[in-house]
Amino acid sequence: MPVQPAKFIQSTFRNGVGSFVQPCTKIVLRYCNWGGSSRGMRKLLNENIRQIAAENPEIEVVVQKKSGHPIVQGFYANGNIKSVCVRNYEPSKILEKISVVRNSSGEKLRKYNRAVESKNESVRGIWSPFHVDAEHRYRI
Amino acid sequence: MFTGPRLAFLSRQSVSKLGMRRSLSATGPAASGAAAEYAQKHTKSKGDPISEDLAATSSALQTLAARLHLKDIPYSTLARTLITDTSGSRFANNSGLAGFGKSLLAFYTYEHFMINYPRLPQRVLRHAVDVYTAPRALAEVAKLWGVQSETRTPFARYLANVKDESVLGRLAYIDAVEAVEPGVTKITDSKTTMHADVAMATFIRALVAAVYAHRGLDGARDFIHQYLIKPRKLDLQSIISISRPTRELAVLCSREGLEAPVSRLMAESGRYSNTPVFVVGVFSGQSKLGEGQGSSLKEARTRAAVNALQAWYLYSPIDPTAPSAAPAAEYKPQPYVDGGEIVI
Repeated sequence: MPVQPAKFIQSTFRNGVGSFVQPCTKIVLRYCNWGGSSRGMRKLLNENIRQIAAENPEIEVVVQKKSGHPIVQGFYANGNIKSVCVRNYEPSKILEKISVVRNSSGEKLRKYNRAVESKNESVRGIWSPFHVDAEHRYRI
Repeated sequence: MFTGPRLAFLSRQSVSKLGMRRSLSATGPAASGAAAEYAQKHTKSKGDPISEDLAATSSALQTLAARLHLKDIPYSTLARTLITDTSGSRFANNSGLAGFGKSLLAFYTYEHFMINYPRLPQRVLRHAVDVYTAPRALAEVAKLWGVQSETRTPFARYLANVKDESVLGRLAYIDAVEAVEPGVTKITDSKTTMHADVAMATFIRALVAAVYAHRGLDGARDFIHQYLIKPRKLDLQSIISISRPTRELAVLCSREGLEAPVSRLMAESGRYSNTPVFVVGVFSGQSKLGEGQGSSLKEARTRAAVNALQAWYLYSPIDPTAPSAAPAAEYKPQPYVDGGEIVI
């Protein structure tokens, strides 16, 4: 057969094209019933916890009592866990951290060295020295 | 190979042959009870039905439904799609649903490629569909949806005092691959175990069938396109591998009644250096069919022929209409009959 599929070519799955599925699946709010650093967290849990859960139906919200500093922990579909320590934080600041955890993709943080990163090839194509006007072409 | 009109016929008439009756496609709350009743009666998967109240207590199910925007599908149906036939659960499993969903998934994926790339060679088409619907691909998707697994045997669950009810919402199967000790993996191939990828795939297939049962055929089609076809990107240009491109192009030109292809050098640089570059165009009469560049004349000529053949095989109509997207009465098949693959 002259034409064959090259089976080693991998395909990519792009979350957000056609549909978007929230990568964050679970958020754990850990607090201590005694410690002073959990004061803000305790206030948040008393007042806002139902609202937080209702606003995020796609995320399982778990409240955990454990001694130590309070943390906000996100569990992601790719298996990663992101923990943020929220000791001595006001409820408003903890809400901010919850939204950071919720909106994260769960990927490891890394440095982007290029201005544009894309999975798609350039629409314009790569510039070619052989397709400029023959007059301006550089000849070796 | 199917052509357009035949696809239109298949999509509307032959659903019953795929494994479920048309009567199931009725939408609305009344349909859900009928669907569950039907599935209970007519599929191989025997077991206790899952009550809606019980399924609604699972937070994993609720969040999964919200993540996939499946609020209109009962939790009991969703719970069932997560129980495989190796789970040993007392509840009805997903094998019947998965069988039907697999057919629907294959049908719409084939349709997508045949409408968008009508000249794709048969083997490439089959591979492309495989890339979208094989267990490995579906397992990748299920993991991205955050589906959790429950791989304990019924005996292990009994010892841990875990009831079948508390497993609902997690994909229940017994893994064929078991790490016995560091460096030793036991792989069992039997009907009582399942590979992780296959288990994940049965869930997605069953989910497609569940969407069909509650949203109808168009709903299932939209779901497949939104969640499984559109997000996946496959570079079709690079999966076509041609063994004798110049010869194949010559045969193609003669079959299509075009002038024999001629390769012409269009630009070059550093012919006598150790890094020469040649740009070759392949022409049929006055029209340029393709262009390639390489470090030798032969390489550039071959690349030009490959480029021309890729353009031929990956032809895509400007505004393709899928037979399943339009109502049967309105669909007008395009009068295009492809000459098929080139034989050399």
